[in-house]
Amino acid sequence: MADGIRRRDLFKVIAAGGATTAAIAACADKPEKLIPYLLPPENIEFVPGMPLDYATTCMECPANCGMVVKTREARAIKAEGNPDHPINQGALCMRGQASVQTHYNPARLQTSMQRDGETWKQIPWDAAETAFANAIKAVGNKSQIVYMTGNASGTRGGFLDKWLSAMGASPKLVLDPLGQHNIKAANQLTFRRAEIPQYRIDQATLLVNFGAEFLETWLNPVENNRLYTTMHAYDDATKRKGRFVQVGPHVALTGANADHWIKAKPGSEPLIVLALAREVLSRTHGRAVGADRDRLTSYLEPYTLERAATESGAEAEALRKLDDDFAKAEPGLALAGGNLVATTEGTQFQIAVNLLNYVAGNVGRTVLFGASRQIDLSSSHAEVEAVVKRMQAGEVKLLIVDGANPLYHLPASSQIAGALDKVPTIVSLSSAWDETTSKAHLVLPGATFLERWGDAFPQRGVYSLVQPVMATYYPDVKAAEDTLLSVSAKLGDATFKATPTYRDYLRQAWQQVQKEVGASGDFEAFWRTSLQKGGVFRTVSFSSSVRLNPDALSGKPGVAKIAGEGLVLLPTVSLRHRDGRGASNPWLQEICDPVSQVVWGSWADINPVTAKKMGIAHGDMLRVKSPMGEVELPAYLHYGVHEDAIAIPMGEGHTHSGRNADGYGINVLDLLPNAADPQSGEFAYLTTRVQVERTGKPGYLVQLDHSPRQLGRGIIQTQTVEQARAGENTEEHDPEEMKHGHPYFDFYPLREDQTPGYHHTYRWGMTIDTERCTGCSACVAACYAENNLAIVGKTRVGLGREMPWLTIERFIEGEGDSFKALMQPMLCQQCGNAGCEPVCPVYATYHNQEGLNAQIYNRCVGTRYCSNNCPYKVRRFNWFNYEWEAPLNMQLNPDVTVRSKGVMEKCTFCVQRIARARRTANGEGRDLRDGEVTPACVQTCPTKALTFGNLADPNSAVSKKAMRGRNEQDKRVRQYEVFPSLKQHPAITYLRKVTFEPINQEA
Amino acid sequence: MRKPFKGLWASFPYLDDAATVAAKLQQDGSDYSVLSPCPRHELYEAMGRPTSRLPWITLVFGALGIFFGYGFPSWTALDWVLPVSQKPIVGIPAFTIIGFELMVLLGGISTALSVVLLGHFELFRHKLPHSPAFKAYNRFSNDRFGIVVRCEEGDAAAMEQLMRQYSAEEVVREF
Amino acid sequence: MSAISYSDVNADILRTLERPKPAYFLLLIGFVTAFAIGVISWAIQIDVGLGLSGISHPIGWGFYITNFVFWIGIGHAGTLISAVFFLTRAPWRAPVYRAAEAMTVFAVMTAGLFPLIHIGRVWYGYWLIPYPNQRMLWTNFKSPLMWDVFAVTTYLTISVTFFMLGLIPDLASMRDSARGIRKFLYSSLALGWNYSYQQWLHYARGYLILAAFAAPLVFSVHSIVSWDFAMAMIPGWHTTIFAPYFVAGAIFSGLAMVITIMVPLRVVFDLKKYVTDHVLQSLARVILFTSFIVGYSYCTEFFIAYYSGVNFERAIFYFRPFGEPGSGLPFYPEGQMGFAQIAFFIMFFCNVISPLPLWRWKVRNNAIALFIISILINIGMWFERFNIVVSSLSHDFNPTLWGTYIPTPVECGITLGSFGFFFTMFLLFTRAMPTLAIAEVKEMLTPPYRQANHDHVPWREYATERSEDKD
Repeated sequence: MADGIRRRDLFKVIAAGGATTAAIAACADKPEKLIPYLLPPENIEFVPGMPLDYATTCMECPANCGMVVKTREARAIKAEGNPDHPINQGALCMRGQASVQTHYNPARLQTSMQRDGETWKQIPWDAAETAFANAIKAVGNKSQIVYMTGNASGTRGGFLDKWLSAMGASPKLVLDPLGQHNIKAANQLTFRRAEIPQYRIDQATLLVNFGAEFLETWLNPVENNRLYTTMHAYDDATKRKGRFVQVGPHVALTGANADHWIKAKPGSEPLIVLALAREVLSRTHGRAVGADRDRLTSYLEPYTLERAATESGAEAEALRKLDDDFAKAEPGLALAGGNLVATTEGTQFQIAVNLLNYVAGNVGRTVLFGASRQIDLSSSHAEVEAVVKRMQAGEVKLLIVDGANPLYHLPASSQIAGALDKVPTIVSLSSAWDETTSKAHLVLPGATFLERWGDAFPQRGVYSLVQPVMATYYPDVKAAEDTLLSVSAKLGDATFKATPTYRDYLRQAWQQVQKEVGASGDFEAFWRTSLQKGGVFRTVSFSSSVRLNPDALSGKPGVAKIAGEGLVLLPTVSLRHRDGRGASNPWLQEICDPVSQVVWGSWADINPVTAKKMGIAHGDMLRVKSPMGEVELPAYLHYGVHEDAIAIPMGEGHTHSGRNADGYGINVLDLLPNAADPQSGEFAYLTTRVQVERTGKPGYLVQLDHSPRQLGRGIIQTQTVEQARAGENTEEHDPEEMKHGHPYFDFYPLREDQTPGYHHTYRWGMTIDTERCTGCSACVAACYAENNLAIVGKTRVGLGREMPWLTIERFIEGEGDSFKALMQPMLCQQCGNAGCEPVCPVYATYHNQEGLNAQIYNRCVGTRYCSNNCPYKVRRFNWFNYEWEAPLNMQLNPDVTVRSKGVMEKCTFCVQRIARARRTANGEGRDLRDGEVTPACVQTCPTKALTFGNLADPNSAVSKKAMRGRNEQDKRVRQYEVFPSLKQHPAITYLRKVTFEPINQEA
Repeated sequence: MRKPFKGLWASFPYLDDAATVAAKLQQDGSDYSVLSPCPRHELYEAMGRPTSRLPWITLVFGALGIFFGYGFPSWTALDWVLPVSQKPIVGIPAFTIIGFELMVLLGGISTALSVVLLGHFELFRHKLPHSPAFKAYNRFSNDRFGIVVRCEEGDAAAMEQLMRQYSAEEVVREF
Repeated sequence: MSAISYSDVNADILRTLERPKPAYFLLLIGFVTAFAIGVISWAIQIDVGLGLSGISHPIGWGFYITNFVFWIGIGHAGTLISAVFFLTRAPWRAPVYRAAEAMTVFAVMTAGLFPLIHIGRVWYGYWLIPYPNQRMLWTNFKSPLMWDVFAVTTYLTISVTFFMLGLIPDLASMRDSARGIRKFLYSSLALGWNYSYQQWLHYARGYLILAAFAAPLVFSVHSIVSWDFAMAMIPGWHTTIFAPYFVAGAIFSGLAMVITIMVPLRVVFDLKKYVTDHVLQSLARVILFTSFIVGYSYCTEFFIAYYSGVNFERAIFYFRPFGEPGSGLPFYPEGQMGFAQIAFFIMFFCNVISPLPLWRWKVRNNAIALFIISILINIGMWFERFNIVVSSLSHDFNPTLWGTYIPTPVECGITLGSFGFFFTMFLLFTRAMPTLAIAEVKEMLTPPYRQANHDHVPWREYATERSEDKD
């Protein structure tokens, strides 16, 4: 029955809109009229079985990418990037892909509840709102009402302020441990511009990065990935390739992409930055800085390269080369972020970086001000701490949490737990269980961003809308804003009389937006088109001329003080969970961290040298002790971490966030002191050293990789930039051989005459440019989402029973500090001469006319011979009947079979998408156009590393990239197939990674 | 139709005697059967190395097996063409195995069956006594050799005399 | 054996079918329990899923295929002895061949279960049979697994036929001595066998032809089983020596199993005067011979892997004895020993070293020693198959997707059950049928002659050439 109700809500939901990106009407109120499913009313463009797409905005992190959510029969089933959106341009990161799981989170709050004692009492919604209202009434001094939220994007921030002031409550707190206050404060001090500048990575030729994990979570990773590859990836046409140098104590995904890693003592990087600035200044004779020259020269005097080298432990030679390049770079760009700037001198660090960019003349070229990016709206740690103090003092009578989880996101040393106990009433408007909500007294479940209205203004000229793509999944769930509105109404407050629902409030706000963007015409039309496009996107030009503020030169940055004994604790921001939100998404838990290949839980990166000294072996259980607390987690021997440091990712170790998050890993914040940067108030989490010892217990560390070496098997191949420029294919091939349609000579040439029905019209194929692939793993998440891949859990992954069709393989080349971690996607190669096909006794897999290795699930008896005979080992077997914990099953894609126990499964280039597109094309009586079909992985790739298309058509993009010898001018340079000697004729062509130094790949 | 058995049967403790008798009967061209616990070349020689038609049956069925072994897979492969990795649709080398196996299968089974059947057809040509005495006598499966002669009552005496001459243990006339 | 008379043979052999000792029933109970454990384990696996076995990605085949190959191998000795040694007229064949054939039949039956046990959806197992279904969707005859289906079924059918054909005369002689229900059963199985020479004639001819059919089958079946592996491209599987290598191994293990069975059998039923030490000794010789072929194959594999220069081949053959390859990475220890190395060394010791004492006449003539060695060989051969199937799969082309194997209770239970099934069947057989071929043993004895002088052949004077077909 519940189904029926939701289904009927649908017709309200999609009461209006276009077919592909449809706009929708309000869905706050429940429908009165029953509409039979079988005859949908005329005014609704709804065809059972046809997907409806809604444009909206991703709220998984503050970056706010544009998003298009595909719905089927009123269920959101897949999130994709909004191609019209200027920031992410159709791509999404893995967390964005997984947002549908946030929506169908089994740990979601389903109904309004009131605590009595230790248990929860379910109460009707209206009663809950009344209780909320009374709670507010009850507070005498209204300033003792505190509101903590996780999101204040766009209009929402203003709305909350307005509501709180109406209530007389103290100003809102926006919680995010990963704020960017250092950057703002530093820019304020250096250039009098308290904002996050636009980093035009794509414009740079040399990128020097001090710890900013810009390919993972920093600012907008999707945009960064795109800009970075534009700059860095070798361009076959122009033969240009930018250089990327990583300086710092730790190498995670971002660092792994660097061409060169300069290992430096944690905290010593500012010296390097300033030394670079000093050298650059003297080399360029201050061309860029004009009048500031002398001031800077004197300021930078003490920061010599030698000093930097000695204090940071980096080789002076490498530094000299670096600053040489940086001075020459036209232009260069220096970034700093992540844990390196999370010291108590973080602001000074950022100032130093500003100076470096300034003296190198990058400001105004690769560092642009005036974009007024709203990527970080969080309150500073100092503000939060003040409120926590008030709580402890019992000066907070009512705490309202809404998507904020202070109990998890604040270090234990901040005494937050005790503080919460002192608050008489805690009201939670969050949408899912979390640590703080579990302490609440009253719960009015909020809606996820797929169910509510909202907007975001990530940067100037980008007005991005959030609209409900489906009715609230649980009937007793309401968008926090609407709850607040009805509460204020209950309290007889007149502020919001004109706007009874948040939608109305939003529309009101957007009338303002219409004025700003100067869109003429009536508002309804504007509103409608904005909804359809997912917002309004204008390219605005802004002046970004800034002058140096002399006060910036007051500080005397040195090596950051890091208290305590033992190894420096480097909390790293997790690519998969960021600060810990989305840890309850099974996808994000089971998709491995690309560099460590670890799933389900935390690990501690420790340098093999240090490990050897301490007698620690890979996987040993460690006890990590700091003055603030201690945790136990397995050791991970990693060359990419300084001998004097231990790196632990954030985001795990939940206790009340549902069974997909609870009990996995540890929360590194438990080890941290409650420190902040005095200048910016930014939370400083690189401030302590920790004692590390073996517990003697074996750790339970589950990795997807077995051998980290590729043993010279040429799975991920590289060539030097010289070779690439010289156009030499590192494996030489006789041009005669190229005529076979593949570069490898066949002793038994193809006998297509013998095998009728081969490759009619289409031969689907793909190219994967490993030079463009940064290993961000968005494609893996997309594959999980599109193809109903099962989640098997930690123990089964440990036994090698994971089910991904597409994995990011990681191989390590070299040793010590000069190690290199190569990554590339591995998926079914759709071989023309596949090993899997002939061995199947029942034809459950065969070669279809479009060149796919079709896999017929309902014919498979499960001999697993095909998997044995697949050299790429990309087939997955259903060892059990896997279950989707409700309501995660609601996300399943109806176009794809859910495989049962005993059946083999594999990637088929999203054959369901091909079929859908072909149906359309056939309807129009034509063949499919190039680029008309995109598999989920290709669609979401932020760097366009994957190209999919028809190899049978010599003019298709993929044929041009793959150079299979069909075009006369084909000359393979970077193209290669994996395991060519096995004569599988894969349909996937890889493009070699291009490196500056040759990488030895001998066995 | 069943002609009643007419003649006499005798049991011999010794192989050479039985063989000699058989040889004599064979020489006279009289209608007789020899019973023995196990096949012996002596008797075989004495009976003039008779041969069996059985190999021809095996040949026919074996050939049939080969034919099906190649024919059936080829037909199924062409009946619904499902290409597998550029292998020829009709892959003769692969089907050879099926051909071989089916040849052995049909050939073998037909052989075994014809051993039994032919053995029974012989009974129409060379009848054995139906008398309870003969049925009750179970030492031919143990350690006695037997000779059964089908003859007219007139020749019985001569026959019995021949048996006795070669120390037949017991001679039973059945008319 | 001249001491023995025809009637002794009947007496001795029929005596084995009388009421057995209680030890027999104890054994029976033991094996039936083992069988039951196997059945229960399988039921659980069908219900829950193959995840209960140690098989995983990338190791798609594990204990079950190992057992399959092992039992098929055992199943070779019987037909080898009864067919090949019949054609070669080996004098010591008659006393052992009946038991060996029975062993073959039951071993192949056991083996036949494992493909079903190992497939993911056993309830659709019948899809492997090419039968006309609604959509006229047939099976893929290019798949080695399809060849298996035909090879194994044919082998089972033929060995059963051969077995039953050989039994007919003996069943008849038991019919003559038995009474009551047994008499009825035996006589119905004897298919109206009367000892008339006309029947012997077709019988001898048919038996010869069937032997001639079964002989190549012995070699073909295990070759085809070996092609399951050799046809795949996995390094360690994809070699041309597999067919002879497997056949030799099969005969090796099969004959070992024959000894394992015959030694206790001849004691329990006290048939020493038929199953003489000479017979065992001759078996031992063949074992020694095949052991050398097997050992040679091991060496060849390594040499070819080295000589081919193929990276993948070299890697797997380095891995088998020495463990994980060198990586120079502290978190990926070189030469880490595991399941594969254990399997390899057990295999090498049991199959190559342990048969060496058979060179000595004393050892060959010592039933106890033979028994022990035969057990070792059985173990060794099981591990040889495990080594081939699992270690090759665990380290194939893509190093990042290598794996290790962890056996589970369920698959061990099923393996145990297979032994239970096999020995239960065999014990029941010893009770129901003569474990020695009466008629054929008699053939080997000196027939009763009146003249002591065997050169005196009176019938020759009268013998005349003639053909059965003249009328």
